[in-house]
Amino acid sequence: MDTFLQDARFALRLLRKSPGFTLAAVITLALGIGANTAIFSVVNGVLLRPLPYQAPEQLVFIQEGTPSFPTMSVSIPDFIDWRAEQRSFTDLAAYRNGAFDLTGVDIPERLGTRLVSASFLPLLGVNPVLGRNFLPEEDVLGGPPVVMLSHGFWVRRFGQDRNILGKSLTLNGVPHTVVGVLPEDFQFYTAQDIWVPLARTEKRFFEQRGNHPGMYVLGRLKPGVTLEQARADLEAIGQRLQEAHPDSNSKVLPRLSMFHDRLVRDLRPSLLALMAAVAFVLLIAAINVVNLLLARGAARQRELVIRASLGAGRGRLIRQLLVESALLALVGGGCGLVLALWGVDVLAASRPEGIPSTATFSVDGKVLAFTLVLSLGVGVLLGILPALRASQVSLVETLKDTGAGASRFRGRARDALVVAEVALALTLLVGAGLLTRTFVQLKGLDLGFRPENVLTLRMSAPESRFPGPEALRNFIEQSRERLQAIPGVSAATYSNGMPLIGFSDTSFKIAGRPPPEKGESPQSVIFITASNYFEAMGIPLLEGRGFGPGDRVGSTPVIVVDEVLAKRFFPGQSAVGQRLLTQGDREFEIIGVAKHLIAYGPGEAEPAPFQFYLPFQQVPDEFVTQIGRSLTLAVRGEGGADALMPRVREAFKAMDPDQALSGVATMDSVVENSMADRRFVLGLVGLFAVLALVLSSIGIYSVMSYTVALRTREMGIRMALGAREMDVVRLVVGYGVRLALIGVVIGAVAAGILTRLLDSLVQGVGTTDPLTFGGTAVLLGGVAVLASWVPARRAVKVDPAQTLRAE
Amino acid sequence: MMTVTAVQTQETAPVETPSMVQQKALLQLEGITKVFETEEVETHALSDVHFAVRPGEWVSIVGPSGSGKTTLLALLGLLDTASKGTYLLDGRSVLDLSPAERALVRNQHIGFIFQSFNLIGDLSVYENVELPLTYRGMPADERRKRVERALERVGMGHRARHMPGQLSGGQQQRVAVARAVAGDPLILLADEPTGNLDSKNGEQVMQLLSELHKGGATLIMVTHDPNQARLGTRMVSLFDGRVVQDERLR
Repeated sequence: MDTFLQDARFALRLLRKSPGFTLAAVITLALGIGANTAIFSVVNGVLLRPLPYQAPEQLVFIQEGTPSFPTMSVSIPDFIDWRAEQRSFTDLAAYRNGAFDLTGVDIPERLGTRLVSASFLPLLGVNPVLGRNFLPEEDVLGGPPVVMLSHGFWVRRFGQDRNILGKSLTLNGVPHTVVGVLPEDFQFYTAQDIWVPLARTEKRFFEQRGNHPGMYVLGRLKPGVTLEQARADLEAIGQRLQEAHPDSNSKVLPRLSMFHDRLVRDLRPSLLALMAAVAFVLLIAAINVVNLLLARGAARQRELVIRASLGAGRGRLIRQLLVESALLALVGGGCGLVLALWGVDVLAASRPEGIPSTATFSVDGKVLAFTLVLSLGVGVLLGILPALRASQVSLVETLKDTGAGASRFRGRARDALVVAEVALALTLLVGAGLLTRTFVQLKGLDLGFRPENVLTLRMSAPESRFPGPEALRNFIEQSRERLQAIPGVSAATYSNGMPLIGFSDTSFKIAGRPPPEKGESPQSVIFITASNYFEAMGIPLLEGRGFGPGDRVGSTPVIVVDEVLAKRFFPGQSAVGQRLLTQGDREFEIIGVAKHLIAYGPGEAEPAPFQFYLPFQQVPDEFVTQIGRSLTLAVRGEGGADALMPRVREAFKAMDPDQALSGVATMDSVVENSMADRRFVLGLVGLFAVLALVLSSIGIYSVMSYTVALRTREMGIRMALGAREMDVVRLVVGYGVRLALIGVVIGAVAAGILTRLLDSLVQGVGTTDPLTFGGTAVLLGGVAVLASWVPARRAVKVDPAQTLRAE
Repeated sequence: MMTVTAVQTQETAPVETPSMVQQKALLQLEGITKVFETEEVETHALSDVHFAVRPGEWVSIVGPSGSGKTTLLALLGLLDTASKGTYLLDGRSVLDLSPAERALVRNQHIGFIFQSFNLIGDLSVYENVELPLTYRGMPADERRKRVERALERVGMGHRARHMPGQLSGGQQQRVAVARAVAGDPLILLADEPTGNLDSKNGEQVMQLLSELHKGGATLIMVTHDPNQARLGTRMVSLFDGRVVQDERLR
């Protein structure tokens, strides 16, 4: 221990003695370790930290699926049957999202609502901070209307009124009794204002087994039961349901996954890519420091030889050098931690919506341990090469001051490190390049509509204020006309859904063709829209016509399909005039073909690959009240949301003072948000790639500078022998470029292998895209030329006469 | 061009013969002065040096340390520039050349032999000898012939693939001589060519230089050793940056 402390003290003294070296090494390491710590805090928060629920490792996420549509929400009757028959779970709980209008207050409001089974909060182990949970008798059709408030809504709307319990809120025209307030730190997906029993869902969803109303299920495994056993259990029930209900369930089976895995499934590749990127940055940073240490080792050779000649063994010398490098890395790690604290704040502030709300980014014990282990690991990594080399010094050679063997080794080691640095930087730059190319391509995608100058918002028309189909139809159409009449508004339209915001999908058949197997019908996004939807949204009609005033209840049911549907089902012929069955096998005549919309988001998978449109004015009375209660409006006009929104509110106030408009957003911001996850990952990978490029160019520069310094005499000799400036520049730059090229070749091979890991993140461009690889190689080559150029210019300033003076 | 062996000395008169006066000088310095300036001090390393060398001469430059021998050699080899004066090499003024032009002249007309050999450690013997020819842009075939001939001439042909570190000092200096002569320069400049060698190797190198001279080479050699100096055909003594004696030996 004594000798260890002695080594540490000596190491500290050395670091203090060479402040330039220490500062350069510490800053380099701080950047590398700090970036790793910051990203690890995200990985820790998202992938490693347990979910903030009771025994989260027992929670299972359950949905339904068929071979053709592997991910569907759960039908309520199926959920009820599972719950009754299963033996693997202590309980099952269901949840879905909705929206309820709060009225009877000064400012009506549309509230984000989570509808949950009474078992939901107990299953997660969550207790209200005020009041109680839902009772089983409140979670049955016709049960007493009750509501729980989220903590945020309780604070915002009621100023944390502790007497709120027992008070009544009018939701969708029905008084609901407040029975509880949820804890402040409770989070489950996106925050909602209120929570109501699942039984507040429309009755028809409880009756139609074939309807999958966006509801999902959580289960808590019984102790000792595995996911596989639970899957077998539920699938057995699912198979019985298939037999019992062949019309709705012929191929439907439950699909189970661990809840945490499900939450982070989409994020895992991005986070692992980020972790790899930042690890590359650290490796490059470490290589730079190893280079510094090697250069310093040369200067310290004599000291080590004296130690060895005084009896220090090889192990003792290695230990001393390792203590020094570990100390350096720890100081770098400490500074890196400070950087990381700042970085974590920045990351937390810019976190995209795709990261689950349950994940928090912070520097906890695990992150601190990671930083410590990383720093010590880097310390050993830094020290091992110089230590091994230094411990092999030839006493005779060094004391005679020839040191030929050591300097040759250092030369080769420096070259190898530069090659490795360039290879790492190239790999990272290629990764960043591929993500950038993907992003640019996706950003340049034709969305199929014109998002600019469009304001979207949701309106509601509850039964309490608009009881019948006629009143509803009139209100909706009148709203559209009023909005369109606002000065500055060029068009206003409505639909039951909007691309990138939310929409439904449905199955369909082509008239006159053999029906697909049950449960295997093709699935299409369905927009039920105002007649001016295409013009207002800027969706090009490629063939036929859009909706007109003549398309009303009683006229021939018409439909506009998208180009994908038209090409898939009517190849080589016109889709216009063909017929299609949907909405309970009603027959529609195709009157137009519209451009395909990027509905799910740029680069996103399209579970329902087709799209079609029905005119709202043609929806039969019995369905109007299902569809028209909640519609999304699109208002195209100049001035942005701030200018338009007051006028929109004003227009509604005149028609419906209780109107609770919600979800106000410009379509441009919706488009931007749809790429936020990608932008987040790309921004970070890009940042790390630039950092890698800068660090590796510093590496090349410092190695070339050091080499030139070592070879000053050689340059003088060459110039004495007739080398021109150009010859010397060529020699130095050629040397740097040669190393860089070897690095580029190795890096290209490595990138070719590693970028396959980015498969899920790279789209529209191959992971071996020659442009990205070529461009990156040229960039690194250019950087190598520049980084070698400056030392080369210094080399040509060598006075050749020194070859004589040095004699 | 009218040339003279214009050696102005303080102590001795120039030594001339009529035949020499008529022979064209290969190298001629007139009024060469070299001043090193620092912030406070001006040091006259060479003062008003007049000096000419004819083809086939072997001029030994001698003088105590600090007398300006190395500075003179650097000026003659175009490694340095004079503060004042004229320098004609093969009849051409070379004092005002650009760095690139001087590099070209060095490469094509001057061969250097240094005290510490100055071979490049990372290049093989062959590559070291080839280096000046490479800078000349000579085709590879021609280079190979010349390198092989030069190495054979110094008796090092069998060591062409060796690295300098694998050779003795004497062998390294022979390689350096091969490098100096490979390009068939007008003039060979040698700076204490045996200074780093033991007496036996030193003798061998001086023998080699004698053979080169007999073969027609023009040599200018800086040396401390009077015996070696007397191997030349002429001995020029420097003192305080001035030529104080110019003695014809043979």
